Amino acid sequence: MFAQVLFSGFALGSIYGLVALGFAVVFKATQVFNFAQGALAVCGAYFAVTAISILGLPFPLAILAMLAASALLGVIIHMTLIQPLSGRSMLAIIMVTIALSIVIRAVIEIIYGPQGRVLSTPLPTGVFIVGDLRMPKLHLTAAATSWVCMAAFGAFFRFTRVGLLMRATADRHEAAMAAGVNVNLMNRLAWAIGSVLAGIGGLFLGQLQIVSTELETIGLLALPAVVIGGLQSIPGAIVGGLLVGMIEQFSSSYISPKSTDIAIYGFLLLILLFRPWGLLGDQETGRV
Amino acid sequence: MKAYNFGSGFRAHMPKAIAAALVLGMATSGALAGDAPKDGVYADHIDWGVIMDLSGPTSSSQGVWTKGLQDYMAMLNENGGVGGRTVNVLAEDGRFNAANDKIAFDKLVSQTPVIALSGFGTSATQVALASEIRDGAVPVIGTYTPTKALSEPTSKMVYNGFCGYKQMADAGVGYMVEKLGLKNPKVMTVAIETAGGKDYADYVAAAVAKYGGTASSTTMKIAAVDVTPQVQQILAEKPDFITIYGIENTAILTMKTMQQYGLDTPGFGITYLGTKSVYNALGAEAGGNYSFISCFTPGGADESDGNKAMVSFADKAGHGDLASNINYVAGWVAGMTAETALKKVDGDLTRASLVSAIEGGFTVDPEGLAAPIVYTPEDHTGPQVLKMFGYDYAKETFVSYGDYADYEKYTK
Amino acid sequence: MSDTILDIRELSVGYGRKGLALDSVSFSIPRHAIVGLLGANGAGKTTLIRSITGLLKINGGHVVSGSVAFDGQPVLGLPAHKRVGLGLAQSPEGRMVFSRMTVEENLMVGAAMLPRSRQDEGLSSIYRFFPRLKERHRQIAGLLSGGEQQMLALGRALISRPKLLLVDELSLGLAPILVNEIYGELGRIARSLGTTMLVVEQNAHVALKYVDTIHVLDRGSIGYSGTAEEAAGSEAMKRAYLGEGQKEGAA
Repeated sequence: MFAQVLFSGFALGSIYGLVALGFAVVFKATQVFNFAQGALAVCGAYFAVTAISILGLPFPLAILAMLAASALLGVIIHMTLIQPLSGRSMLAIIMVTIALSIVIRAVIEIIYGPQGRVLSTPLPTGVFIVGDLRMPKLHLTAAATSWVCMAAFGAFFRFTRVGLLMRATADRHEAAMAAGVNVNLMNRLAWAIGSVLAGIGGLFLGQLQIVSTELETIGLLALPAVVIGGLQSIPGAIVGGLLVGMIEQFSSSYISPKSTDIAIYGFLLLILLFRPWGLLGDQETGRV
Repeated sequence: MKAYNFGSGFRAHMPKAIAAALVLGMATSGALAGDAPKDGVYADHIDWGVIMDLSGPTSSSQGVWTKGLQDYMAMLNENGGVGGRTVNVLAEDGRFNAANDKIAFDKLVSQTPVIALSGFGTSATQVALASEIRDGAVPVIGTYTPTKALSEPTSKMVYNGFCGYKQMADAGVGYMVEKLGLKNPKVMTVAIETAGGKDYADYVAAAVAKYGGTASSTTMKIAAVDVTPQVQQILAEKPDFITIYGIENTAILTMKTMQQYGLDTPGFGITYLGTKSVYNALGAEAGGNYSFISCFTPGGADESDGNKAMVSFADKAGHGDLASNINYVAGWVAGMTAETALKKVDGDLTRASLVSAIEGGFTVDPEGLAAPIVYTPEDHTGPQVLKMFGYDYAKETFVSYGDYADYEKYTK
Repeated sequence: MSDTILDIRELSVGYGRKGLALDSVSFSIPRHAIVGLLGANGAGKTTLIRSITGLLKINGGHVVSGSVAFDGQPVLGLPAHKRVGLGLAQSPEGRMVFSRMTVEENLMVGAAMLPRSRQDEGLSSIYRFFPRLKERHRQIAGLLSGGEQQMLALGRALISRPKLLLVDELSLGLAPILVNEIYGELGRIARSLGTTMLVVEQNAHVALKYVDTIHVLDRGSIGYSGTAEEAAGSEAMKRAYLGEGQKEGAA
């Protein structure tokens, strides 16, 4: 039982980490606490439904289309909602992201109906059984893809010129402008990346489960994940995501499925009380 | 709150319709004064109320049920209605919220009065309104989800229109135990967290106890998108079979996640979960382990008169894809029940005369869409004979396992 | 091509609904010159710099009227990064290094607009000018001393070989001896590269040692213009700027 729960927590936690990473990229770049991150994951899942089930595109093409649509969505959100509000209070921008998540949900329900959709997948769906431990191939694929994505984006930020400029922008907005960085472009890119990561998370959540607007609740686990891991910390988001997945699975298996929210947010509360900058956050800048 | 005024296209021509209504109101107010409009009975038509979730998480089943009832009434009206009056369905949207249902209920009792009500898909609403309905003046004929609170003890105001959870549990468990040849069956109920879900789990436990078995249950939120914890529990307890209570997503998620974890434990769903969209979502592999227990025969599953009439009218109404939906059939049969009840009234049609006319009992003949439904003064359970259905992925039709008569022993 | 690199004409700037922070300011900077812009705290120096570099809007200000031309091209409508691209670099007030990135990464941000082939060359030239930065190239910039951070900010601005370098309040928070050292080094670099410089200073005594000409901003207007020698000997300038300016320094 323990190994089984550990496995599920790891697999789901990896996806949460991916969505949380997207959240952290946006937060670091634009200081926007994006309550629509869960809704962006839902969008990714529905983009996949549209490309795979409705348009019937071949899987690789469908994934490319879904990634492009997610990126474009992030850019559009930044251009139309976030950039015009730059300089306004954090509360105003938070309200905008909350409103955005509600609008996204409503629009999806209008277009696709309230009934959840099933995302067919060409990925392997069997199960590896080792003793009592059952490891669904789909969960393994999701976890592996999440880690590849996280590593790829980590490398992107560390080793590329654009990644360097994005880190500079995140580090100090005005200094980046003074140094000739096209800060708006970097922010737009951050939103595109944030949206794409949420979208990939949504794609896997949709494949493992069911595509419905309720996936937003799972996507929003990115919020406790980043606060637990440390708001300003990219590795913190990943670790936070993993932890949230573990806490969720362990509490539901060992206490009760109803206890997951209490366990996750109780842990969040402990972090805020005793280490408000998060597990891997920066004590100077990362205080919530 | 939306009023679905059947067949009028009212909302599309709002200004015109308001003008027309004003003119009509002036012209007819005299004529109506002597009538009894507070009971929803007019010279040319009868208003019949429906309270169901036409939007929200449960609308995929309840909305279809409502269409079934509306379509049956449309067919009835084409054939002359009841006693020279057409039957007009006023459907109110409860949006999976008992508070909305309460507002809709008050509205249909007094503001836009109806002769009787059908539906009440949200079990919490039935529990909340149970005493008000039982002590009130408006009969509820053809409920969608029967709950203990509303239906026990038998009331002259309430006539259930759907197989009860007790019957579903008894017939389903009985059939599975016999088919799998189990001695001391281990059964798990997977249910959403509603009043009805609790009832159902209790009925399953009672049915399993009759075979000397053990029952357990696990619950999830109605809007759950992740059932990993529930499937972990199934993995840990290894039941012989499971039974699922909830909405379509509940069945899809449970069976799909079980398949991902390589579990082939058979499962059967309650009647509401026997839809093509569930089977299509599951696919042949996971769907092969899934069946459902129902008192209604899906459209196209056999050649009975009622089935053929329903399928052809649904086609005509543009609802051809819904006829195979068990919820549509249930709504259709509720329409038959309403018609039978209305036709029992001799003389003036009022709420009171309707209640007293059917008090002594009546029998609905669903023409093969279900076993005959017998209401006696003591028993308003409604449809009581159920059978198990599966799905033939090659032919894309439902498969019925045996005849209704084979199953009578489980619920008697 | 004219001999003027920066030409400011009747520039008026305001913040929100408050009065004008700059009121019809005009002056120009000849190519290859080192020009000082002096003025007390609140005189409008930072506003003027922001107008030139394009950081006015994000700080809540807006141009009311007037024009700024850089190298013959009007720049008021251009975003900050485009102005840097034209060769208008700045070392901002308060140094503003990327404190969580290494010294070398900081410099590479400044070099990002150069073609890849010239980035290494740019980097080594900065290390030549400021050997301290080379010693610390792997260190996190936030952990450097104030003087080192100032060198880093200058290096980041100089690495793209700008035509005009704006140096904003270099002396702020640094020991006088360090200030003199950095200004001396900066003067040598500017003259060897032929870079025009606009040096903004509150500390007039320091600035007058290193610049050719000065303009003094007094409550949003140019109060005095002249060569450094003239200014040093001008009683009128000392009274007008050092006297009044310091009394109302906090305005």
